[in-house]
Amino acid sequence: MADPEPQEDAAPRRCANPDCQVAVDGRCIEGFPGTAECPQFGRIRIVPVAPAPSTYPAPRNGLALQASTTFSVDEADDVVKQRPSCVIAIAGPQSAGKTSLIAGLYDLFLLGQVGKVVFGQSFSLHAFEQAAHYSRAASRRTTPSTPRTERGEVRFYHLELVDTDSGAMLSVLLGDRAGEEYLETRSNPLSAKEFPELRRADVMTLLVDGERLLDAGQRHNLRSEVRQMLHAFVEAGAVRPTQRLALVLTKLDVIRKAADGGQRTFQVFDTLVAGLRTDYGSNFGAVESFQIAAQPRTDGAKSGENLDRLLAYWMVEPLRYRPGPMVFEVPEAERYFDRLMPVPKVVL
Amino acid sequence: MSKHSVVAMGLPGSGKTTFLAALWHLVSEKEVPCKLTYVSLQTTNIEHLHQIASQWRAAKKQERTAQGGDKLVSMILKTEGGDPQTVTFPDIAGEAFLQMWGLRECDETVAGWLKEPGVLLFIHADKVTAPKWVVEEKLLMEDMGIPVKDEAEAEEVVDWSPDLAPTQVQLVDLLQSMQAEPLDVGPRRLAIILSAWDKAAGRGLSPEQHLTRRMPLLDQFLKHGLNRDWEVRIYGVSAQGGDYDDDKTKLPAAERLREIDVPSERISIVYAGVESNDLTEPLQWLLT
Repeated sequence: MADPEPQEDAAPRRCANPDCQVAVDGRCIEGFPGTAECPQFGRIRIVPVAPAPSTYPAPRNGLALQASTTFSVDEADDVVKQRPSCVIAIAGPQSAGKTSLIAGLYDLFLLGQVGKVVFGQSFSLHAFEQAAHYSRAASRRTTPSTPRTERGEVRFYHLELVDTDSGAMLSVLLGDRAGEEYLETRSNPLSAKEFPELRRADVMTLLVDGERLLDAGQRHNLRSEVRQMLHAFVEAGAVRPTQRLALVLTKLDVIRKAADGGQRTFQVFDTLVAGLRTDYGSNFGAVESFQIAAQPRTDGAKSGENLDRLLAYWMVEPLRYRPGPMVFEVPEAERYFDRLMPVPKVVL
Repeated sequence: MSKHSVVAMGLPGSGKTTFLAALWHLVSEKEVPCKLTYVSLQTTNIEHLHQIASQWRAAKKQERTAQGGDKLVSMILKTEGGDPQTVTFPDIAGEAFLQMWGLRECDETVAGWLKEPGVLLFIHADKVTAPKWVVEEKLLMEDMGIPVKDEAEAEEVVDWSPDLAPTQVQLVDLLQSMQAEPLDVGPRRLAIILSAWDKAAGRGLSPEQHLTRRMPLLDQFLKHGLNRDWEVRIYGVSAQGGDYDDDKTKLPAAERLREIDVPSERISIVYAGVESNDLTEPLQWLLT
């Protein structure tokens, strides 16, 4: 299991990235010129966690039951082929709150329906429980936390949800990938092409870390990271016009605790959204912005505040299901006769 | 004579054995009218039934069913004017169901029993582990003026393990497993038994309302995630009637229960707003 995501406290200052020894040797593994520019340095502390010991007896002639974990790309593809579904890519730099968003949404369903959406089933219950564990009292932590998503292939959390208005059941697949990998697309835009969750997404959800946007020392870098990431996704051809974009300001509780009640931060976010809408809006079927507190650490917001609005946006019928005109391409062929047979253009 | 089987599921301490003990007393002693009556002493594992019913009559807590000590008991019962039916009722240790949730596997023998079309799912109405959040506890302590330790001073962090999951999550998973390979057998009837109902009844809620209030995820699953060809009923059952003695302690409440002349009158079952002593009612529904 992954380590818990680091939390802010007064512990000795060092980097959240366990591979980075900048506090010891002064060398930033991410290449930032100083610790002031690094979004991970200083405010956080790593809590190493050993793998959970099993409290169960050894298996006795057991029949294997369906797994209860996240899905691989192939498993997610099978779901998409078999039933109405929506794929949600949740992108953002590390610590933006991707896993907190997933765990916070799951926690809301433990308490009842979320807006007009009710829980049906999930084949990822173990994975959801692990994601939520360090925010639960059973972990004996005194500050909530979420596990770090480790580098590697994207994994999908699975939910079957029902829209109470239409009665339609939709398989919702929430893509989770390490934030570092999304950030690296700024230097290597073509790497975004290798992220299947982006190409398959019905809703691309880009998280903007509210805590960093509040911090004048980090604000400008964060805006640049978000803009460049989105640019990289577009440049890599990972964006399709049937996708919707959700721009999500996270950690609303921390923002509201600012001296000005977060006014300045909200203005900065609105300006960022307006700029992204102008520059990249035409690449998407729709663009919406949200302000959420998935797993607040203070009383500045309710648990899961505004997740109902975001979920409703995710649950709108994916645009790929709407019939549209077929686009044909004239094949490049030597014989003129062969060029008379246009072929449908496949958009992946 | 037809044969029917009912499987009883439930996490440890959910009241499966107590229900079976009270059921055996009820059908064998015939102290109160029941929908099902017993016909013959030709039962499987009758010693086990005698033993647990004896504990029940003495108002003493049942010993926990040990894993690997699962008992398959059967009774020959009949409805009024109906043919006798052999009703098989495996008394499975709750740990077998923890294993299904935690290890994603099911003992082959237990799996065979779990393929029955009639399912009793036991949930202790007063011992539902609900999720609690760090931030809520922290804010509550701050409100009460109790100093909150920082992470460095706090107790050692507890890593995740499946048994820390809320009760309702484990139950949703068990039911999902029952409608997926290798346990799927198509349509079933599911009788949810909220045991120790005497502990919850004081809140003035019906069994359905109690389940909705205490286990909202399970409630959503039953309404939207369970296969539509499953039928569900929710019962509130007090098979003990109150607290029983354990090995070391004698309780006044248990003494009061022993004073009741007709032990079957300790039993209470609530369904659709009607209360009775007839524990065979859910069985009869599952068997029809």
